[in-house]
Amino acid sequence: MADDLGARCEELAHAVLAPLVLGGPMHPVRPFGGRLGLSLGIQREIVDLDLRSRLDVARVRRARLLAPVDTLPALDEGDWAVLAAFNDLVQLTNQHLVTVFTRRNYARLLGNLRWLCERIPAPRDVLGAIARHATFGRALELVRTDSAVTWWTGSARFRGETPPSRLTAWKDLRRVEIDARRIPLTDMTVGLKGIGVDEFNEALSLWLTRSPLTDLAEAARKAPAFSWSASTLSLIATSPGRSLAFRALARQPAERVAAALARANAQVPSSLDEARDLALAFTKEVADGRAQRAEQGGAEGEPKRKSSRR
Amino acid sequence: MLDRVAVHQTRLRTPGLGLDAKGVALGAKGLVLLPSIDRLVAFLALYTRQSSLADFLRTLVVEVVRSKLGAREVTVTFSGESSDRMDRVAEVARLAGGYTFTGTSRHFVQYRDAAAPFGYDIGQITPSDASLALYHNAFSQTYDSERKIEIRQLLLRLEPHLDPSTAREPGPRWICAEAGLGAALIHYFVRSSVEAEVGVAEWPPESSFDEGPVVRYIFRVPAIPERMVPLLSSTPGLGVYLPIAPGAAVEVGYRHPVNLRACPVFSESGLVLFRGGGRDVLELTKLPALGDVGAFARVELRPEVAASRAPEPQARPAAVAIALRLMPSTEPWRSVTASWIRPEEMPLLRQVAYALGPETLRKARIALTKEGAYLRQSSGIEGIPVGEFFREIRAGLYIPAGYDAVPTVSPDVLYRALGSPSGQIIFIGRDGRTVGVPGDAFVPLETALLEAQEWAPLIGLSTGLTAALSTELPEVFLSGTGIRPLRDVPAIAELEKPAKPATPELGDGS
Repeated sequence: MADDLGARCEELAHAVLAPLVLGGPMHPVRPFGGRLGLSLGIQREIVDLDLRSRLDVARVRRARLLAPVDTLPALDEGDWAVLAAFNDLVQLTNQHLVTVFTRRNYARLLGNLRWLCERIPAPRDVLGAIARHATFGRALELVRTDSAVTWWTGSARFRGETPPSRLTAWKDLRRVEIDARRIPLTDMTVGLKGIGVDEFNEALSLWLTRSPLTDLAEAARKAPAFSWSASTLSLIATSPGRSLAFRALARQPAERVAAALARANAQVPSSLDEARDLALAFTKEVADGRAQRAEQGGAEGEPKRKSSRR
Repeated sequence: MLDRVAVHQTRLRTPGLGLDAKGVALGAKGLVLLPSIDRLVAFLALYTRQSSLADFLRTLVVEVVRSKLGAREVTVTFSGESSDRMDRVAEVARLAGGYTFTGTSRHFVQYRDAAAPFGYDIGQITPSDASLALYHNAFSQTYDSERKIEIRQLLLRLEPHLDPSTAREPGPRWICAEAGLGAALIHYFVRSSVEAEVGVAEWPPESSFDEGPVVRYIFRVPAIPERMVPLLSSTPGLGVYLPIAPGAAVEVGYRHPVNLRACPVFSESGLVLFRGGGRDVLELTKLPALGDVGAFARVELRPEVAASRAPEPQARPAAVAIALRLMPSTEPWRSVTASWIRPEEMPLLRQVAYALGPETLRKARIALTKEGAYLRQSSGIEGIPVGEFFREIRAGLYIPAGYDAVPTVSPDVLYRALGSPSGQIIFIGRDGRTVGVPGDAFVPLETALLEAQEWAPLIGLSTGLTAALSTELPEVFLSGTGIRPLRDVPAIAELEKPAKPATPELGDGS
C-alpha cells in the first residue's frame, strides 16, 4: 500500500505538478479525497531527481519575481495536500467522473475537497508562502481546449479531449470544421451537469486561500472574486509579507486591484475590527505605493509605511 | 599468574616498568593486542570518534605478529606517556575486543583494570628470544613480528560506508569531474554565478594500453547552491566530496569508517578523494594550480583605444642640435585646418555642435585622446570656433596658427627631424611639446558626436525573467479515470468520523 501511495505521489508529480510549474499537458490523476490528500505528503519527496531539479529551478525563477531567494524548501506535507486538492479540483471539471449511476460523485468529491482545504495548514512563514506561491502561482493560468467538430452530416463536441482522427479525416471532402476554444479554469464547469459554476468557483476560492500569496497576486481576477481570508490577513500582518503582497499586486492592473481590494474590504464583517483595519491600511498602502511609483515614472518602489503591524 | 601492584610498592620485577605519580605501574610504551585487522579498524574508529591520534601518531606502530603456534594477531604500540592516555586507550581496546599492555622493550604486562587499580607485575620473566612477550592474567605468550601495517595505507584501503546524511552537511566541497564534463561544469558555474576554483589533475595511465594520463577536473566550491546538489551528486562522471580533514575528502553520501580528522596522515598540500561504491581512491600528491572559474567567462574585446603619444626622444649630436621654438608670426593665417580642444573645452564643443551645419559635421574629422580632441577639416577649421587652431605646414604636420617654427627650416626637414612617423599626425604645441595622433584615430565628427552621446540604459522590468517564464501554458486534458474513480474518496458522512489511529501508509515514508 505504501509503495502504491509512493507510486501515486510520483504520478501526481509528473502528471499534475510538473505541467503546473513547467507548463505543458496536464493529465489529472484519480481523485485523492480528504483523508488521503491530507496524509499523502508525509515524509515524501519527488523521486525523479531530474524532475525535482527542473521544478526547483522553475520555482526559484518564479519566486525571484517577488523576492531575491536562491533556494526554496522542498514540498512539505501541506504543499502535497494542496497539490492533491488541486488535482481533485481539476477532476471536478471532468465529465468522465460521473455516469448515469454515479451522479452524486461530484457532490462527494466537492465535499471532500472542502473538508481537505479547511484542514490544510497555511504556510508557516513568509518563505513558506513564497514557496507555495512559486509552486501553485500558475494555477489560474490553466486552460482547457474544447473542440467542436462539424462535418457534412453531423457534429460533435469534445471537452479537454483531442477529437479522434476518424472525425477529422478527409477534411475537404467531408467539409470538416474544427472550432477550438481555450477555456480558463474558472469556466471549466460551464455546461457540466451535476456541479454548478458557483459551487466550483467557491471551491476554487477556498483552495486559493491555502496559498495566500497566490490569492493576493491574483486578486484582480474576474472570478472567483477575491475576499480576505485568515491566511491572507496573516500574510499582510507581517512587514515582509506585506512587501511581498505589494510586489505581487504591483503586477496587476491598478484599477482592478483597487476595485478588488475595496470589494473585499467591504465584505470583512464590522465585528472584526482588527482585520478590517489591517485590510484598510494595506489597501491604502497599495494605493500610496502605486501613486508613488507613478510619480517616479514607473520605477520600482514600495509604499512608505508609517508603522508596521505585527 | 600476575601479581597485583600494591599501594606504595616501590620495586617491580618487569623490566622497564615503573610507577607514575599516581602509583600506577607504567612503562614507556603501551601496547594493544587485537585479534584481527577488522578489530584494528574498529579500535581506530572508536578511538578517533572521541580523541585524536595526533598526539602519538609519530610513535604509533601497527604490526602483525605471529605466535609460536602460528596464530596471527595485530599489535598497536605507542608511547605510553601517562596513565590518563593509557586508561583511555584501554577502555576503547576493551570495547574493540583487545587487551592493553604496558612495558618498555620486549616484555609487556597487562595494564591496570578494575581488579588491580595500580596495575600488574610479573612473577617470573619468560625466557625467550621472541621479539615480544606479553603477560596477561589469562595467558602469557611470545610473538615474533611478521610485518608492519602503515596507518595511511590502511586508511586508504578502507571502503567508506553509506551515509546519506553527509549530503546535508554545509560547507565547502570538492568536485571531481571527468575530462568530458569539466568544461560544461565550468560554464554551468559561470552561468549560475557560483564561486568556484578549478584545476586540472592528471593521474598515470591505468594500463599501458591507455594513450595518455587520466585527466580530471578538480573544483573547489565554497558553497554549492542547494538546487544544484541533486544534479551534481547524481550525474555520472561527477563526484562531490566533503572535506573531512586537511588533504582528505570523502564522497558525499559516504562516511569513512575512521574519523580522518583525528588521523593527520594526509599531506595538506595534496588531496585524497575517497570514493564510495567500491571505486578506487583518487590520490593527488600535490594539488594542481587552481584558478577562479570566472576566468573562463566569455570575454569581449574592445577596439583598441587610440591615444596620443609623445615621440621617443632621440639622441642627437650636441654640437648641431638646437631646440625648436615657435615665434609669433605677423603673416596672415592660412591653411588653418586643425584645432586642439582641451578636455575642459569639450562641453563647449558639444554645445557648438548643435549649431554646426551638416556639411561641416560630415567633413570634419575628430580624434579623441587623453589630451583632448583633435579636429581636422581640410576646407578650414574656422567654422568650428572652439579650441586652439593649428595650421598644416606639411601633410601630417601642424603648428599653432599665428606661429612660425624657428629655426625656419623647411617643413620636410622638420618632419624628418621628428622621425617621419608613418601614420601619425604631428601637432607641435605652443609650449614646444609635440604629440602624435594616429591618423586612423580620426573619425567623422558626426559619427563621433553620435557615439559620444551619453545614454542611460533602461532595464526592462524583469524582462529576462518574464521571458523565461513565458513557457508553455499548463493545459489540462481530460480522460476517463477508470472503474470506481472515487474509491479513495470517502463519503462525506465518513469524513466527520474520527480517523483510524494509524494507517499503514502514514507510517511509511517514501
